[in-house]
Amino acid sequence: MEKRGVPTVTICTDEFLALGLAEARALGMPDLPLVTVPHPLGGLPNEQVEKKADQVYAEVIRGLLAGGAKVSSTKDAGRGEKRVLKAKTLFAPQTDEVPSAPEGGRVWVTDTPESIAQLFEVRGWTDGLPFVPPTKERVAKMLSYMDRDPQEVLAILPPRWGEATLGKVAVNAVMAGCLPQYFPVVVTTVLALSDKAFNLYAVQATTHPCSPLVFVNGPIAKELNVNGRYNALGQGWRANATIGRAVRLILINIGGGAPGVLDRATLGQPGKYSYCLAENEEENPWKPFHVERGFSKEDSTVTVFGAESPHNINDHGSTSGRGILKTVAHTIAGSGSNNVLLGGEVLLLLGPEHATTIAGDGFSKEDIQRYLYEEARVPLGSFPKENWEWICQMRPSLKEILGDSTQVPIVDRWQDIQVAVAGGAGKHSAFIPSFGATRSITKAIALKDGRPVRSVKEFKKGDGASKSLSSARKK
Amino acid sequence: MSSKIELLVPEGQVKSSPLNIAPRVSGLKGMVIGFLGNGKPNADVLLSRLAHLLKGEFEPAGIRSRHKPRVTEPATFIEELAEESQAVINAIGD
Repeated sequence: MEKRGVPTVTICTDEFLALGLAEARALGMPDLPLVTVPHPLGGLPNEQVEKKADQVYAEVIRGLLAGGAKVSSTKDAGRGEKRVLKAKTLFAPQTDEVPSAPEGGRVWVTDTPESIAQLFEVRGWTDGLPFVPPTKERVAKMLSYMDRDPQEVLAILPPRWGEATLGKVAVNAVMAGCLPQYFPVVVTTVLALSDKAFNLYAVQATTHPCSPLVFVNGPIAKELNVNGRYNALGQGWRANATIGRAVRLILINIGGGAPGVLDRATLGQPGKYSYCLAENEEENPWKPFHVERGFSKEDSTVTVFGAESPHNINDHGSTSGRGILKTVAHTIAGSGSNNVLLGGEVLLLLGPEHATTIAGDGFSKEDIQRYLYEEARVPLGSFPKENWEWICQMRPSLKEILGDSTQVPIVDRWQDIQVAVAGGAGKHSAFIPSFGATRSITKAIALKDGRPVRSVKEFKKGDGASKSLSSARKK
Repeated sequence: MSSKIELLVPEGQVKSSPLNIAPRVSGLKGMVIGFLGNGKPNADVLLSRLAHLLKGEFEPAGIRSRHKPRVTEPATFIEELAEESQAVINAIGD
């Protein structure tokens, strides 16, 4: 509006002021008039909302009129950020050292673990865990596994709209503890996240607990030992732990997703520390996930989902595919799901034992999707009336999809139920809902010119490997 | 005494060209005022109340109210609202 010459005033609740100010600064308009009301607005009866309107009316009008007092609350500016810093200093500082300000992309600090940790914590550059100090030498080693210039801007990441240069991505990958060989996976993930259809702004800033799930397919998963078997969603594998963590640090330090400030997640979830696994392609009775998305088996890919935490599905008793799928359907159909609210995709990770039984009974992936679309329904009576009205407003497709039915589907189309295979032995599977207003994106791990690679060695600068592999494939 | 170590900063730069906000208006009487809601709960109630108060005080020429149908996606009617209105009040409900 302002760019079109129309003066505006924006009203938000005080909880969202930091987000509004950051957005205004990122757009080059730090003086954009913002007025706050006390949080919340939602859930209140009309009279209370109208009272809040009455309280700010005069301030709103001043913001539109020439000569009116400036209404961007300078006393509140950075209030959200100060709240985060204050929380961090609730505990006794580890050293007396005064944190130095960054200069030209660098900081100097006393070379002790305590001083380094304190500096990064005070600056809001960590996820709360210890990290690997990003020295020039470590970052250079990380960069050696990519065929791009360190100054290249891979993406501009919201909601802060920070530049994700290759160099900055490498700094965060070092901090996370990535081996340099993991760097191509991290870079491919950043490229996938910046696809408009993923809707990263919403995934970053929402009150919902979603976090990008990084799902790796192809030979590189094996090469890097990205785990897709026992405890695939848990601890124990450096690749899983550090690739996922690098993504989170990038979203904090470049995208600006500081919790309680621009990342508004009400509760969050453990997957916001790290959320990365491979498909268990060896025990997948159907085609690998990326092959179904149009890639060749020899390609390696990263798929990103805007994912909630997983919900286990235990079925030890069913001996038929239909039996297991019935358990799946009635585990996943719930009235509080963001997918019920917004549509979008869900992800079903079948453990290999469940997958084998289901495939053995003749179910194709499409059969599974269609069955679950019909069976995984939430009865209308499960919804409180006032929330049902809100859901119908948010998901306008629902009226047409439902027709006269009183059974609400968890997604809009059967194709939105994504199915993959992961895990070790055991009769468990996992259901992962998504934020809803996000689409999963699959990208090949590829050279800058777009050619998919067979090995991360093809990225390595400074040895003959990359040249000889590329020229061998040209023949 | 420990020596200093040089570390690289993980924060990405934010590059934005400074933009001046639009000039404010000299008055609201006879103007068309736009009201833009983000589609979240009670943004509409807040804006309706403000519109009511504004109409009572300033006698605008008209009121244009628009609300995003999907909270999670950008508004598609910005151009239209900008053409129709001389000033806009925007509310983000939550």
